Amino acid sequence: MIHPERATALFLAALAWNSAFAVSLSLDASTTWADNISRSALAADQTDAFFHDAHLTASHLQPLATGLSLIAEASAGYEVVPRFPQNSAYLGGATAALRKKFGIGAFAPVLVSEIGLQRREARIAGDNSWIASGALRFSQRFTDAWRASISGDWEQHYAAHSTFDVRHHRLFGTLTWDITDRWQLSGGHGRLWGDFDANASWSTWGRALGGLISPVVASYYNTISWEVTNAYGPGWVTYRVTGHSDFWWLELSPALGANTSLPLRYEGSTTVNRAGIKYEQYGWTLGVLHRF
Amino acid sequence: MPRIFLHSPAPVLACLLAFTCHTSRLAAGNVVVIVKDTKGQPVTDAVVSLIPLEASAPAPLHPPVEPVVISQHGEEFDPYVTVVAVGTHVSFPNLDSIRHQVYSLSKTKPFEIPLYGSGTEQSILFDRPGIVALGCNIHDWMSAYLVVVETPHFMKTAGDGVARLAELPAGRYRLDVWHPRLAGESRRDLVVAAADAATQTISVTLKPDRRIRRAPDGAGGGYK
Ligand SMILES: [Cu+2]
Repeated sequence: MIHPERATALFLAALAWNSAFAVSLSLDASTTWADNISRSALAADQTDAFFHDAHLTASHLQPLATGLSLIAEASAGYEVVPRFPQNSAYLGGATAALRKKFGIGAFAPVLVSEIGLQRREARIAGDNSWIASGALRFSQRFTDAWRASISGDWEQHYAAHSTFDVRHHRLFGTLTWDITDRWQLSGGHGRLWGDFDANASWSTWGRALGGLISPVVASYYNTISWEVTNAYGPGWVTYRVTGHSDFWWLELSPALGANTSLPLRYEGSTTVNRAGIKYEQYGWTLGVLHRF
Repeated sequence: MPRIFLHSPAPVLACLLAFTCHTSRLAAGNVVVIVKDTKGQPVTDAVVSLIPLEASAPAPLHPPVEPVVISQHGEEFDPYVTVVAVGTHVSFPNLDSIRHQVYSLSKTKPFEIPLYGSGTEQSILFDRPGIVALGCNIHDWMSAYLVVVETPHFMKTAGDGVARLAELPAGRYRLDVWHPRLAGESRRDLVVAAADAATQTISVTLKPDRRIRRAPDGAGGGYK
């Protein structure tokens, strides 16, 4: 349980720390309208819902040498789906990144390598996990207004139950256009390879295992980890499959001063598992990012 | 910040000859320059300089003995625009708790001050006229301009768009106006008469502000 007084005291302590040790504190909160939040394959199972999340991050940038900086971050957050509270989770963790700039000036290319470890405390006991991650990002500014980056990242969940032991890696590109000093438009496209969790109602799951969807699906689904989680209704099943996902997003982000922005994002993904089952998801997200 | 009267012992020495001083004051004029944009709004941070056109010898510049200060505070440069005469030293004190790495890639004066924290002062001599665009290699959004002029008659416009240039020896001058967002060039010739106060209103076309955005970027999308 999080007590409001304790959270306030923690926040005030972090602010004091912030001014004393060049630690910058930031808040990232967002609300998403998720189309097919349950990541279900069959139209009858697809469920839409609001998803809220908020993260507080303390970060410290330490220049080490010319062109080389260390960025250390610690964050804590909470995610909730009010319609399906079973899916709420607390998250806390730390990352360390090395930022190498090749040359002097805003137009010098930058390479960031990052490693992280996070703890996820979920309502679904099997989803309690340690998450290890690594990322490599190369970015280049072309003009004051345009920049691009290419990122590769990897993530491994060590969960309480094997259903949630997902491991995947992604490769994606981002293009950012600062239209004016206030308005920013950015977009990205990429692909994920590896494991992901999906959900099905009990009746759909029974048909899939029984071969009523296709023999290929039945033979694959009889080899994978699954469990009844009631994540999106009584008897609902969460299962772990392997495949790939193509994802993209478009984000319009007005700045409210030097330290705040309000990104509005539309994103989509098409995910296909090894048995050829396809999952389509879309989402609208309105967020607020603020540096204290 | 008025920098018309450059603090240097030279004028004091010159004034030992009371007669000379008296004569120059009699022959001095004042010019008030008002810089406005095309909508008639006052333009702040415009650099106004007057270059004598008839002088037989170049006007003495009298750069200040103490360095002019461009500080780093709150991960920004302060001030955004500074104007100095050729031969001026400028120091870049860091008032933040994070280290900065100030540089210029401008042809007028390329330089780089390696990473430094608060309490370290290093000044740089600006020995050629021109525009110096300043940046910080740690914080890409930090930007400032230093304008180095080859005349003792210069000033930066305040919030009301006004620059007052006083004690100008009578004669013909070229009036230059520069601004970080100026489209094209703005210069004109004018005659300063002794004991006269002339007002020059200059309309400039400004380009949109194209500074690197500081507001936080979103994490982007892409499912995990
Ligand atoms: Cu800096």
